[in-house]
Amino acid sequence: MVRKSSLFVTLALLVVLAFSAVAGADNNTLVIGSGAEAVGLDPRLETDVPSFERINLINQALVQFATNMELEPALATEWSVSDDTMTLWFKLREGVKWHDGVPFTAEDVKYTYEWVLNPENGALNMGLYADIDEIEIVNDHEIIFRLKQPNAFLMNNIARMPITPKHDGDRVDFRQSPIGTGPYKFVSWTRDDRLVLVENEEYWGGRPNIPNVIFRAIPENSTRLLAFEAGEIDIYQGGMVAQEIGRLEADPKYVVQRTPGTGYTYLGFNTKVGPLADVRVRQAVSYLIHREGIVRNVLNGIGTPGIGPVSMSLPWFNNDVVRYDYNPEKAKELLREAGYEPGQINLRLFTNENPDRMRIAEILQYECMQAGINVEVIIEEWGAYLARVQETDDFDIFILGWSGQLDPDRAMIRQFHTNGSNNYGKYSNERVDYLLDLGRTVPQESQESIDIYREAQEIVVREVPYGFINYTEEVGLHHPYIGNWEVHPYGAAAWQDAHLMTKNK
Amino acid sequence: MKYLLRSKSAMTGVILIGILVLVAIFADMIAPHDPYRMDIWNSYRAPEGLGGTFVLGTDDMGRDVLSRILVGSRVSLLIAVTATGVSLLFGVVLGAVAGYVGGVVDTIIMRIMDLILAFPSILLAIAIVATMGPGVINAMFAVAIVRIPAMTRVTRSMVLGLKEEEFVMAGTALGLTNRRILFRHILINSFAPILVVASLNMGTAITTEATLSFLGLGAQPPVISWGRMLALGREAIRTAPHLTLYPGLAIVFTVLGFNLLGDGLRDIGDPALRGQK
Amino acid sequence: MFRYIVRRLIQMIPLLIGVSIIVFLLGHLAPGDPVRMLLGEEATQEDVERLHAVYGFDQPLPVQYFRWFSRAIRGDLGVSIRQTIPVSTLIFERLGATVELAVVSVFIAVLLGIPLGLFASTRRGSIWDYLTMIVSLLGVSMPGFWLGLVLLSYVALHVNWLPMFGRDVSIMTGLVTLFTKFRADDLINAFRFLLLPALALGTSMMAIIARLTRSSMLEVLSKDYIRTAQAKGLKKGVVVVKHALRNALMPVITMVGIQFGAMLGGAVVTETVFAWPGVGRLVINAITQRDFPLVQGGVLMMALIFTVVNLLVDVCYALVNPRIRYE
Repeated sequence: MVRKSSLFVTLALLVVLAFSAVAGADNNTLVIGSGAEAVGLDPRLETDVPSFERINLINQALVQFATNMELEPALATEWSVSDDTMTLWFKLREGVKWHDGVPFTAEDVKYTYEWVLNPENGALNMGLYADIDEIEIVNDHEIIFRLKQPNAFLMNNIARMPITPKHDGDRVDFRQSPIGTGPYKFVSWTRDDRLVLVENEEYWGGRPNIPNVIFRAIPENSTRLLAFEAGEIDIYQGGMVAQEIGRLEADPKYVVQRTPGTGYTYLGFNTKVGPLADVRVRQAVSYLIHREGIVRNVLNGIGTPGIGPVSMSLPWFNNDVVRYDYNPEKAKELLREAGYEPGQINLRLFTNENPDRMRIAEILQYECMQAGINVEVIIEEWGAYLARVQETDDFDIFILGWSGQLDPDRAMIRQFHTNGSNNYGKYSNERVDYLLDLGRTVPQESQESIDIYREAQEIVVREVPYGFINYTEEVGLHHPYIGNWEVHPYGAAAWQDAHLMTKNK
Repeated sequence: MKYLLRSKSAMTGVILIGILVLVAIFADMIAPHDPYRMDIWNSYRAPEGLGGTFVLGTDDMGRDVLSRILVGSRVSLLIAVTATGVSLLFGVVLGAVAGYVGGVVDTIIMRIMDLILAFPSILLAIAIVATMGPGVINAMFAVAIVRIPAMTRVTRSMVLGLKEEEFVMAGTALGLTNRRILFRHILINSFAPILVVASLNMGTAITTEATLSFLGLGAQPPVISWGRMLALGREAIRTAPHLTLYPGLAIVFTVLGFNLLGDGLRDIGDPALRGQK
Repeated sequence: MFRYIVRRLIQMIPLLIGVSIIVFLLGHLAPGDPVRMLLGEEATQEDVERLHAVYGFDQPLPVQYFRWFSRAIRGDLGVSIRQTIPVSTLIFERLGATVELAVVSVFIAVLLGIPLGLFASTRRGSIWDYLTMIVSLLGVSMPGFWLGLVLLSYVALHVNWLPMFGRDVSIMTGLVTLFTKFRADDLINAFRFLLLPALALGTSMMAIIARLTRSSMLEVLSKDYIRTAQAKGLKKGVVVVKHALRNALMPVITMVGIQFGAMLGGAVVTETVFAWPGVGRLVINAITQRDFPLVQGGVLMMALIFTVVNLLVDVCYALVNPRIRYE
């Protein structure tokens, strides 16, 4: 009998213990939610945002994007670009140490870029740095990049390539347990579950306020929000449940931060085959995109109606282009002009299983039907979809998005240059080609650069290789006890200054 | 037929399914609104109840939820009935043959079934749809294939059990032909669990299509299916639960109908129970 | 018995080869190119061709298959194209989570389903019968992803004790700490995190089991030998449990075996909703990325587990029903 009751007491105690153990992480640990697991942690090999969200705490580039999207010093304290945009000079930060104590020098910079540029290493982003001809070390803390051809925008790519250590970068499992110069050091990684980081006490930018950081991968948007509300994660950026944004903004228990993003969603048109080869038909379809409605209903206000390829926050943005505000009458008129009777045009629209895109497809299908264009919507699994768009011209319209369009070159040359690697709709315009080539040869801060890209936008918007649907918006969500954090327009850079953040729960 | 009338559950099932079939046939006429008509400025309207303009509210694009459920019954019923029918037909025949004939035939059939079964079913459905392209027909096909082995195995296990029963032994001793024994005696007696599984499969067929839609591989717009309504409405589960609640209830209604019918048929096919009622 | 098991194990070999061939074909027939998926937006034609050669995708399909096969029988499942980590590492680090989830779901389904069905069958036609029927029909009518989100939004959000996502420790670890350190907190934690995903995954199976048990019981209860037993004056409870249930469980056990595959598969969706670090999520991502070695390895592993489970089911079968001999 005695034994039984003591067993009972023990059990009761265990239950109490179990309940009390639930309290969330303490002030010494920052838990960050993420929409997907990192593929790997080697900056030379990764291409996706979730990977860089994490990498940017561990490894650092020479320069980085501040939240106002201007370049700011990171591992380089000073830099300059020559007038012909053919030579880049960097002064490196002194006294910086790798997480294992080895000093950081120009050798590491040279090593990283040469590794990326060696085709045998299979660096996926090699193309971004292909214009680099040679790298010259002046001394331990000074380095010069010489280019093969002008590329005014290479600096922006350099800001996206964190430096890896020469003495450790060839380790077989570097991709799974990297060392860097950043504010946090790698501790452990359980894939699909958590990545654990600890403060770098000797960080050049100052010792971090919160000693531990844990990244949690939660793929379903609704679950991530619920986990946040339950206090299981402290903060996250991107992948908001759009329907909930109004409630969250009204609730004083949460802080919602918003800023224009660096990307856009668009309709890609096949400009070579089918009815859409006629610019008037493309314009007509563009007039049928109910941008206001899509932003309000599909995106629940997260985003702004699309205008052109360049983000509104960039100095190159051209506001004086043709606008295709929703106008079914105008669309019908253009179709008549092009010689089509209602019901004569049949189009096939492809998209993947992204819920927002499926909704956009459905809205467009409906609007087109009203204007006398039959649209068949086909949703394909991502792999099949990408193969169709990239490798064939067996489509009339597709829906895709671009992210990380940090400058006009990146936002246009691959997409609209006749030889552009992502010109899936085979758009071609000599003047645009000329302008996009010219743009790379003038310094990016100059008025000339701005003029070139404004003209290019003007033509592209008029000829509609893309129907611009919306600009993206970045949304960050955190509890009020988190301080000193600002939502970043470029999601991959969201946590680069995590060492400044505070937590007072 | 007179047994059918006598069984309460069978009758209820018949009535429910009858209503569904009528709804599916006359959906266009009874739908209060055009189910495809969007009114973007009138979205997420809460249900207004009987007498309101939008009885069950509107969805994310301002379309009438009630009308969509009514019209959606067509595709969902089609998928449920066809996929289950196909798997039932193949499953029962293969299972009966395997169980009764035994030997090499049994081994071959069951190994093929094991092969299909060994694939995680959703993954197999995804693979089929990824290869053949998405859409209602392919989704139906995928759902049917995935279900065949289960039907086969249940049938086989029943047949195996019954083969040893006295009345079958007696039949064999009396010199009845194999076919006669198999169909007249064994299959009739194994109907109960088979029908139950089949009627439950109606439900899982609809939810499998929903899962394919969750992954974007089910019915394609503008086709309306209940599964697609559930999948697309899921992010609004807290702000506008009516987007998923009512299609969900429609599925329950359907599944209930088929299960009651299945139960009823079971009772009728069961000679031992006939006298009891 | 032993010989039977050995024979079944041998029979598994052609089955697994068949599975691997089908996965291989489905993978390569589906449109989509792993190299392009890997290279992403910036791919150039030269890069694509270079990597095709690296991974051997430029070879004819049979050559590719036999290359994979000859390595696989030596236990080498290759390396994930996207993550450059051996496929076996990626699978094994998640296998525990998936199996644990599937097994606990099956347990929940069986522990709730059989009593429910039993209960309904002994009260045939009563209000209880109909209530259990409706509960189980609700179960089959709800797709896992939806039920999961409902559980999270309407239960976990209000019950602080239930976590929203992820996994803490394995049941194994929990048991080890219980017996070595006499602390149950790890074990309790393991179940705390498992409860909702397992419910979301197990509910539809619970429903199927309940319905099947009920109908099977009714069938058996009407049999002569049961009536004889009753006539002999045995207690109703004894008859139901000792005589009827034993026989009625046959089709139920078959179903459990079959559904175990559905559990592993259904886990794909559940794992996504609950951010459960399992194989399903890994494989579905691999399919999206056309990471062929990973898809092949993952599906093969699931097939292997499934086959072993079904072998166990068949053994149980023989134990429950002594009339069945090992052919």
